[in-house]
Amino acid sequence: MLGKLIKNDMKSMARGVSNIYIAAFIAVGVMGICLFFDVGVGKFVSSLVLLAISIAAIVVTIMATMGEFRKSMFGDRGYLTQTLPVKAPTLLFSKWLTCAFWITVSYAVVFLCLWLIYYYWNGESSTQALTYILQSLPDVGLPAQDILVKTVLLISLKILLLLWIFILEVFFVMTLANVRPFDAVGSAGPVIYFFVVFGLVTFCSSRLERVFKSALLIHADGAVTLTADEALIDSVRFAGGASVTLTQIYFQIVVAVLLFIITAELLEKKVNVK
Amino acid sequence: MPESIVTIRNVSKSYGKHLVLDDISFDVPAGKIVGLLGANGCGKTTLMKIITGLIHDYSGEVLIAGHRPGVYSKARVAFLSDRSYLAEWFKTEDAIDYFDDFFEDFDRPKAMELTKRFGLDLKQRVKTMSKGMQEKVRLLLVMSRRAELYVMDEPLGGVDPAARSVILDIIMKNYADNSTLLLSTHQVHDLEQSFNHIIILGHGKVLLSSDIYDIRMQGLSVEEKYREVYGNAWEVD
Repeated sequence: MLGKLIKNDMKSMARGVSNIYIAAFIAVGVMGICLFFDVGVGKFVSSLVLLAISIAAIVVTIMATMGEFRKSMFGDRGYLTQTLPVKAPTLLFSKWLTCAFWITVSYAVVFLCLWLIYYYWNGESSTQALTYILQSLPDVGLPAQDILVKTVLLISLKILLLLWIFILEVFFVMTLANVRPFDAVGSAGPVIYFFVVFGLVTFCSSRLERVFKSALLIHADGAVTLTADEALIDSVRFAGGASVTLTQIYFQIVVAVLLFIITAELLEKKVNVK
Repeated sequence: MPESIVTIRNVSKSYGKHLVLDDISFDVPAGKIVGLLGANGCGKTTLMKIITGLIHDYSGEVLIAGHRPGVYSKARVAFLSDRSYLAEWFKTEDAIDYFDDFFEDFDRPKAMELTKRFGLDLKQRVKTMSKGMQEKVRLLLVMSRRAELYVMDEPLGGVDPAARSVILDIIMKNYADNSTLLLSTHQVHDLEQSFNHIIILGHGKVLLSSDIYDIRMQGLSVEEKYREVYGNAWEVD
């Protein structure tokens, strides 16, 4: 059943997010044409459009994720989804996996677009210029190029992971808003509950970070290690390395698992489809 | 076959301060065509949503073939809702594929046959269909299941008189042998010849649960009995 659910959810979500990818594809096409015919204004406008699309991609995907979950679970389509002979955790996992997949795709599209815009305007020579800048970083007290690349990569992965967790927070508040007495607030419910949950999780994770600090260390020689030793984190940074804190991630993963269990339980035992 | 397919015991449900179902208890006999009758707002849809697992927030006990509403019952209950529950981008063939994917009792050749009979285009999207066509798609999907229990919420509601007899004919000729039909309606006249048993709801209570044979023995039609019961209910109020 899970495979069938994922197949159908993928198809459904694709309809919500495909327009942004089509728009990006068209913008890239226009950029190519403008480059070929050397149309200055066209190059500028199409690049600007692609930049806007790349920024919008994540926002549109998250909005589509929320809309799809609400419509398919608690809207008219909920009359079908919630009468399928499928357990609530399976239903929820399929929705989460599908949304996580499309957010990952959009995330990759953002990086691809940004790289494309940079390369489009500056060409081969700019790559060399960028390399030169990166090589000069240690001279101004910043980590070396390979350290910086690894750090950016790890921070990007961390943000992606936080986005996956964010989806579960959204699913939870939307579900809660369809359970009595939390449904009394009406359509403002999910927004209010979201700020409460998000604020609480952020506050708790930052507090936790003060008492327990765990981080991935990127040493000056490029080696990556895991540590919970605050002194070591400082010394690696001082020696030209970098660090990416993980405490927040640990805490949010635990919260995400709890939210998944609670949401599935609410779907199975408490939710009312209006 | 068990005597009753649905068992309702002391079920109450309220929306805020408004009590819709007030400690009701009854059985839906298996293998019969059961009419769930009552005026608008008397709790028919709420009861059907409880039976199909769409509402969890109620007190009392509901059993479908001996099981609480859940995965087991959902695999055996076919629900025809008055809501347009198909995704707008679905084509008729997508909807058929969807049901075929999730319901083991779905009879695909029958769905294709009904599609032809209704004159529906497999390639047409739901969003381009009229309300009547969308109702036909939902009906063909439900009637193509070999379910143990068909729960139909106002299947003739919003349908013009000419189409009513066609829809009724489709329902009566296509439901699985030995299965139970639970139909809610306030158009008693159209369906009274089809019922074997009726349950009349009003003011949150079961006003009557009776075999049609017993009503006929009193020299009354279903409509007359309905008026009698409902009339008394209004007087009580």
